[in-house]
Amino acid sequence: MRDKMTHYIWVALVFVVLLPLIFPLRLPLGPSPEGESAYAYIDALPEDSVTIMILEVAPSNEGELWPMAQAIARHHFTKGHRVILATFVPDGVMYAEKIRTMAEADYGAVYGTDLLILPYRAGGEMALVALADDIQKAYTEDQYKTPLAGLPLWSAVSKIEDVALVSCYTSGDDHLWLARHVWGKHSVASLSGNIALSTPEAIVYYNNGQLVGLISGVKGAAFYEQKINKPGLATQSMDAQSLGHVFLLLLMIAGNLVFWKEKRKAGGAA
Amino acid sequence: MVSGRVGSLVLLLALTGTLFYAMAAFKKTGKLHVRRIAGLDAIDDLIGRVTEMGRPMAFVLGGTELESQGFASMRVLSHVAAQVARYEAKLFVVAPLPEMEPMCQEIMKTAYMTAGKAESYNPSDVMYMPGDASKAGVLGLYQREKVAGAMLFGNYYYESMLFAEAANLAGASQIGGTANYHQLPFFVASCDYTLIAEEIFAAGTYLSKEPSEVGGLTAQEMGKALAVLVMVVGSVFATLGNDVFVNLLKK
Amino acid sequence: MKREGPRLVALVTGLIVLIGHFFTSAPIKAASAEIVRWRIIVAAFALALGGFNMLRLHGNKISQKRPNWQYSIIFVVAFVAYFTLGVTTSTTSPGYKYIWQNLYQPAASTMYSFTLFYMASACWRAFRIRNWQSGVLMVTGAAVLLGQVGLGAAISPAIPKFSAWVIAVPNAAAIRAITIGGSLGMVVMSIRVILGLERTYMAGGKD
Repeated sequence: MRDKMTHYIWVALVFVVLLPLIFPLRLPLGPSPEGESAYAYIDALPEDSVTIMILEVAPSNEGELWPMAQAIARHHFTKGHRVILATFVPDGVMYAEKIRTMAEADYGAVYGTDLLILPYRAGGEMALVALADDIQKAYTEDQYKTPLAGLPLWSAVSKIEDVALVSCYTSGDDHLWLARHVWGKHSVASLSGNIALSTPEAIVYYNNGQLVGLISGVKGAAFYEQKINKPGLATQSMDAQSLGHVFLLLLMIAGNLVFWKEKRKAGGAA
Repeated sequence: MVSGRVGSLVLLLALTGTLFYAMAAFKKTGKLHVRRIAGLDAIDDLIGRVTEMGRPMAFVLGGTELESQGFASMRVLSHVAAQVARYEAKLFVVAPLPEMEPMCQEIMKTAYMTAGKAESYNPSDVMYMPGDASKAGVLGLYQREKVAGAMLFGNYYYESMLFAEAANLAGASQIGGTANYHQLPFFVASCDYTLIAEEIFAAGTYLSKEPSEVGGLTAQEMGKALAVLVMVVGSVFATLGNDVFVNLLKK
Repeated sequence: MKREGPRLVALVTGLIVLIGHFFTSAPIKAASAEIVRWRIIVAAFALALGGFNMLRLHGNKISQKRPNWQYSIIFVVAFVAYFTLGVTTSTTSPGYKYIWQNLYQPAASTMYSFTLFYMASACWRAFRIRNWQSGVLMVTGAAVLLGQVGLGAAISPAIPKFSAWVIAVPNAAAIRAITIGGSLGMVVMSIRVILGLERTYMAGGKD
């Protein structure tokens, strides 16, 4: 019986999530003050500012992180910022390449001058420490094995303090790493894009001023897409997320009703 | 001295000093009081359960890099392996990192040898399952081997919900523990017992009562007491408009 | 030396990095930065070690014809083929990207999507109101669930405000407490590893 109920729930869930993707409901988004902060900070950066985007995006978390990374990259290129893409997960370079394709096609960005892709570095937090403490020594070649010394964008960054903003898109603890090593040691502005699950922790750092902004999950990504007037995957997904949340809530209520009924029956039988 | 780090250096030295002092004191007196941690008490019951049912148990470590939670989890594994070897139960260990696999194998081998059952040790029972493959691998392990017990310890992310609920559907009892607060609600909802944050670091002391473990736990407690003192006194000062503590912590 | 060697390496490298964090001595800082870079190289070697381990494991399974050995053939073929493609062309080659986008990406995304299904069954099975505290938790959880999506704002503007307050005040307090406790545990564990007092990972930890 338990297995049957689980299967019914799973089938219902498929429809609850799938139908809004096919028939959009266009439900309202709701406010996002930390997303507003992120947008305002990036919008205020002067043209030609060098920024670093750390893409900890993988297929497992791309549903939440890829739309926000794309939206922020678009914002950077619209404002004429220069972007260095780095990653500490093996799949991150694939997404960096997608950003490069988008930047070259939509914004006429020139590789080496307007954007740069650094190769994957293993080591997680230690790799970020190496980047923050001595970026020139941490990397000598780009993703395509071209010596970095010859690239104009690289010569604009002798140390991390030359960077106007470091942003990270992660399902892990990278917002802590940013607060510790980028903002904490070098006082460089940091911004975190993370999955909704990490928001209750990351928001503490935002409220303390250790992060200049926070993009939280699909909602934050959808908010940012709408701010830059480029609704995309996150905006489409919000309807499904809204109904999904309601469905989970109804399951909790229904589960409790069944539980109380069985408890009363057992109490009555006793 | 790097500016802004005096406070943390003082704290580090205080913790280290307390660790050694407590180690020496414990070696002399043997006195230790640690409050009951239900999740750790339940380990032996869980092993007893799986032994009676004749079904295996799974110990699944979490983590994307080798850090302190990984070491704490291996300390728990050391105890579990010793008990499993004693009762001749079956234990599958899943290591998410390549460097953890030989460490876990070493722990298991030592446990079986100490129990005098070296021939029962099977190195294939320790499995390296990296990244996304571990999700499918562990779910398959639960269903295929029909585990009666599962222990989930370490640096978990989204897979906590996956593993915990899958073990429930397979009919296994579970003990979970992580210092990642964002996964704690999933463990609390799905596991029979949950070790919250620092309890996994206290597990070593609770299970082994070795002097260095006792010293470590005492240092943690001293650190917390200091943190509470600074918070209370600092809040009072800040409320009265005096930011001496704020500036002191910035040094 | 089998046990003393790793402890000595941990002690020396740990102390150098720690001292480099607190003091401005240029030689120590340079040594510390070098050790951090070594860590990255060691991590890369660990990945290679993991790959060889997997090949060894599945190779043994095939040669001994253990249960489900046929799946191990699929693994070995896929591993060797993709590895060879990446090494001989590059990770930016069209062939490599094609396999990544059309095989790996959908499979990995699917694994992540399982979380929602298991969460749904957990919502049905596990979230029980047994006392007033769990009742408060349920109401708060419901408000935060609705507050995170636009539907909450559509029902009432108070829902996202309450949700934001819960996250910013009681949740932040609890997280700070757990973070302080957990961080102290991590620091003390790290001190013990550096000083060689934590030896579980070496031969079971007993001298």
